[in-house]
Amino acid sequence: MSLSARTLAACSLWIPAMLFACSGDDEPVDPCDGETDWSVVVGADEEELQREDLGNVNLSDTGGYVDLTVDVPSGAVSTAVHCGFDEDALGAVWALTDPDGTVVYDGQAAFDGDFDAYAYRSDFTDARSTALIPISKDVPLASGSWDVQFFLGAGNGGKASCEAVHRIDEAGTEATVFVNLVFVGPEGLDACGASTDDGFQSALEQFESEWASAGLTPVYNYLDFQGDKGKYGVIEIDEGDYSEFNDLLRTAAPANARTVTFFFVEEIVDLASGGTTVLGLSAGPPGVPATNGTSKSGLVISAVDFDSAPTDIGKIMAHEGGHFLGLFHTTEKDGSRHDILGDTPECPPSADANDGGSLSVSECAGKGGENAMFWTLTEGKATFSNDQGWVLRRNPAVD
Amino acid sequence: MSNPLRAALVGLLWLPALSYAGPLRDDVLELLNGYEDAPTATDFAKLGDGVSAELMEIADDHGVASSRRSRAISALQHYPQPTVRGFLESHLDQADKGILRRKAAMALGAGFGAEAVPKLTGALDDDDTLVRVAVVQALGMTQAPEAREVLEARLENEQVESVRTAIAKALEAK
Repeated sequence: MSLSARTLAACSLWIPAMLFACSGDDEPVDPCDGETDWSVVVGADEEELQREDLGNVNLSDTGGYVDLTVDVPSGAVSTAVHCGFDEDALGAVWALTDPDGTVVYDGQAAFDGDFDAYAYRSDFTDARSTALIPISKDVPLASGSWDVQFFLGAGNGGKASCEAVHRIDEAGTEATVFVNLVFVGPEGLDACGASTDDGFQSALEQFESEWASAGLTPVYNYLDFQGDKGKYGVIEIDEGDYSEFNDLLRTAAPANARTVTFFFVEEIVDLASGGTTVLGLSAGPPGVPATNGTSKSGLVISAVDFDSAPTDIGKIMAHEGGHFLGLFHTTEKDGSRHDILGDTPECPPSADANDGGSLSVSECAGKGGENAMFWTLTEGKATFSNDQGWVLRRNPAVD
Repeated sequence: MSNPLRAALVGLLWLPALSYAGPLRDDVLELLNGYEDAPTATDFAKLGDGVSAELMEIADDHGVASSRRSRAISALQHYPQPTVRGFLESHLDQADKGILRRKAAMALGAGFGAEAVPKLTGALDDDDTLVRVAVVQALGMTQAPEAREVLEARLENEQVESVRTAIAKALEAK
């Protein structure tokens, strides 16, 4: 890790903490003693990342498809290729071929309903899509030339910009994640206050305990949102229109991009369902790691439960953070679909004891109801499986 | 009147409805626990009778997380009955948290259509900006012609930008 000039400056002001904070690693500054904007963000060593500009593609010339050849360097533990544009469209990774010429993913199979055909997954989300490798042990990242095809929506005239981020590093059983906590709302919750608030700190304790089961240790940058709080304090989504959510993520501009940004808002509201509160929402999955300013550069947490159930906020953080870094729900609501990992318990539709059409934590006890990536909040401390931890620790944003 | 006292009085008013609460509580609560998924009318219908009473009890249970209480109020839009309408109207007036008042407004708009327009119109003067935004959205959800007239009139007087934006969006969508 590098020691930035800003950290040196911060360390000189923080004499009492120097014995711990300035021993060679970057450490965040005290949010009650100075700036709380993007400029103070510290993160993992960005020199361990190789970025590759893959250019622009006129989608009107390609029927919405983007075909790329990505050279994964030797020593890479993960690669994220993202491609997209700023218009309203649905995109996904459509095909992946490894350096041996093996097709490791063909989106048509999933489109046809065969979700188990490949040990890779990409869902249609918005106009920017991320091909993250690895997201399972069964499709490891080999060095060499990968063919990556995206489908970004036919019939539009957008120009897609594409980039690859390779992490050249080692991945062990423990890892650090620099987490940006950005306070957009609710009113009264800001960076300085949150850093000492008992409720917020108990949320972080829950978050840390769940991520610890995956070998992840978060380090926090506390930040106050510098944009329009009136516009983004309550995030509205509506019938596939996630523009407000995506626009908020585009504001992510940490000085060190090798971080994961959590925006706290008063509430996320789903207008299409008559105004129902959404607990949290991540870009992706997966998000665009270690990259600023895209529609997938972070995740958003409803801070509704800040005063009534702060540990639930910690659980939501652990879950949405898992999505951002490449995990899917272990079991979807009706049990018809599961993640692509080999060691996560699957809860089948037959477990639906009350015939309610949706699987609950109690119905899925021992079948994944305890997992942090189950589709609903779990009781007590949720955990991640070994394979989930393996995926999380390899993400380019993680160190 | 203090908020807790107000909430207690509201709870007492709805005591008859709460007498039905109980056996479905866990099933209903579990439906409210999805991270990203909003429970649908079909989800609740599959649980059978008595769900609306459970939802009202959960909405008033201070031991339940605010997000789940707010989701319970939102879910009441699927039960367009006089008892539920009264519950929502009283919570729009005086629930103990702003978010619960906002949800009550939107559940009225989404579930009760034109019937909800007079009550929602009265709430356009609320002091809480976020409640006013929710009321505007609720009026849009009613899809009632008279709601459009109300919104057009309000646009001429509303001073707060976020509320004006919400009105413009609602009028555009109608």
